[in-house]
Amino acid sequence: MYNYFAILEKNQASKETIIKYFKDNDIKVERVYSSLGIIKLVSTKKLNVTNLKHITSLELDNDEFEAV
Amino acid sequence: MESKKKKKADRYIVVLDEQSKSAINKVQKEFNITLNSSADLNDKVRLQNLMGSEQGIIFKNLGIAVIDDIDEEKILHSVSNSSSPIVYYEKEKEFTATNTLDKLKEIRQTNLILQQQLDDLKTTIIEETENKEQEFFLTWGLESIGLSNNNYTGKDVSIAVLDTGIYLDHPDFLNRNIQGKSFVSGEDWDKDKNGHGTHCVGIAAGNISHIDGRRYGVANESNIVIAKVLSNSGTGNTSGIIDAIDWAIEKDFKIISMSLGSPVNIGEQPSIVFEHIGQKALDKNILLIAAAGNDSSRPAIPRPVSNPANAESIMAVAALDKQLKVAKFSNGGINASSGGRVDVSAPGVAIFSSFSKLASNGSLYATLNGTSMATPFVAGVAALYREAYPNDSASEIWRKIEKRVKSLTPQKLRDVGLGLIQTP
Repeated sequence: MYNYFAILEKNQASKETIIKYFKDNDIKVERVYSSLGIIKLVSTKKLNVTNLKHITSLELDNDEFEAV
Repeated sequence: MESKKKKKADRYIVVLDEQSKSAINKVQKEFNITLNSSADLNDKVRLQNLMGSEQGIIFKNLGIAVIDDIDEEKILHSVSNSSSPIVYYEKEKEFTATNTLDKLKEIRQTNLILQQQLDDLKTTIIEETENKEQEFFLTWGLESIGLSNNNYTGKDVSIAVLDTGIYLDHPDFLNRNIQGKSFVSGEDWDKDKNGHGTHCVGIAAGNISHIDGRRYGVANESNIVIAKVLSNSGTGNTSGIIDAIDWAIEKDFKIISMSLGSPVNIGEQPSIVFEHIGQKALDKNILLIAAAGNDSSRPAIPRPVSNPANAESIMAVAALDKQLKVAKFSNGGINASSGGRVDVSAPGVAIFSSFSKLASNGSLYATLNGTSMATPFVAGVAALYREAYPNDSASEIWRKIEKRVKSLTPQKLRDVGLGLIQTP
């Protein structure tokens, strides 16, 4: 399973449109961060931003943070 | 002679301009009364025996008459008439019998009350003076950022601390405006079992240690917001942090302090997502501040500034020791060409602040080291600037903070940024 954070395009489509688009492509929209213009995606395969609509960037969610 | 029981009516004392018979007759005629002479008073005939409806008394030697049951309007009318013998009148007053001893007792009692009030006032003045003196017993960190010359407290500014939570029962945080949310499943934001979060909150927004009167917090009247994004073991993930930032932005908390990091490699680009988030926050006048990280072991080449502090749009903080030298562990801006600068520095060694009794080595206070400690100094100072310049954008606040730093040359920009932050 691959977890990604994706940055939405500036002129965003509606939340429903975005969720449907990814669902149709077998990608789950796990979370929408409305104030940040970011969504969290879950996919069984590796994703490539150039092949996807509605987003400008993709980043794997694999960081662990600690108190410093 | 029987005494007449009188109903309580207004009784007037009138002064006549002369004591002649004609003057007395005029008054009697005008008010339709009989003025009995005071000469008739004796042991058996008292004043009340001669007073009554349509009766009064004239004290001939004094030129004063006492009359009952008269409409004041009538007297006023008479006085205004130049031919009236009445030159002055007043309503009868009540007098209380006193004796000297009672009076003395009364005065003594009053003196005692006044003395007590004076003593209470003295005590209040002494206490307030002592408290004021205690406020100047600052930690070295607060001294170094110029807090003793500062007039601001962060009042009405919210500082969101993304960390392990807070020990809400800490006595130093009673009566503070605190709210919070946990983004760590199964763990409470208000029961910090790690202590790190409570320590950072104390630096940013704490006040005075109730044990020794030492002031350890910067913005001691700010609103405190707790976002628990690190577990009680001190770790967290991107989702929780982004979730918390999203929440903080929704709520419009102006300062977000992150004493956390994820190490990066030399040459690694900053996270696009955190860069985007930092910029989004700035667009909404919210300032994100993060720790540079503790992976270094100077004098060896320092490790690069950690994620998320390495984002251009997030203010990265390095740590200084008591000699205002960069701390041995403090990461440096060695990836600066691709983001990853140190922006400013703050005290980060031997920092005294509040701690959590719920932690494994629990206590109310602790002295810790880290860029984690330096970061909330900047958050607290940012709150003071926000209070001082309420209409400034977050970017303007950032610029003001950088402009007012204390230069630490010849130390490198890579290590200490533009310098040591200072209060407004």
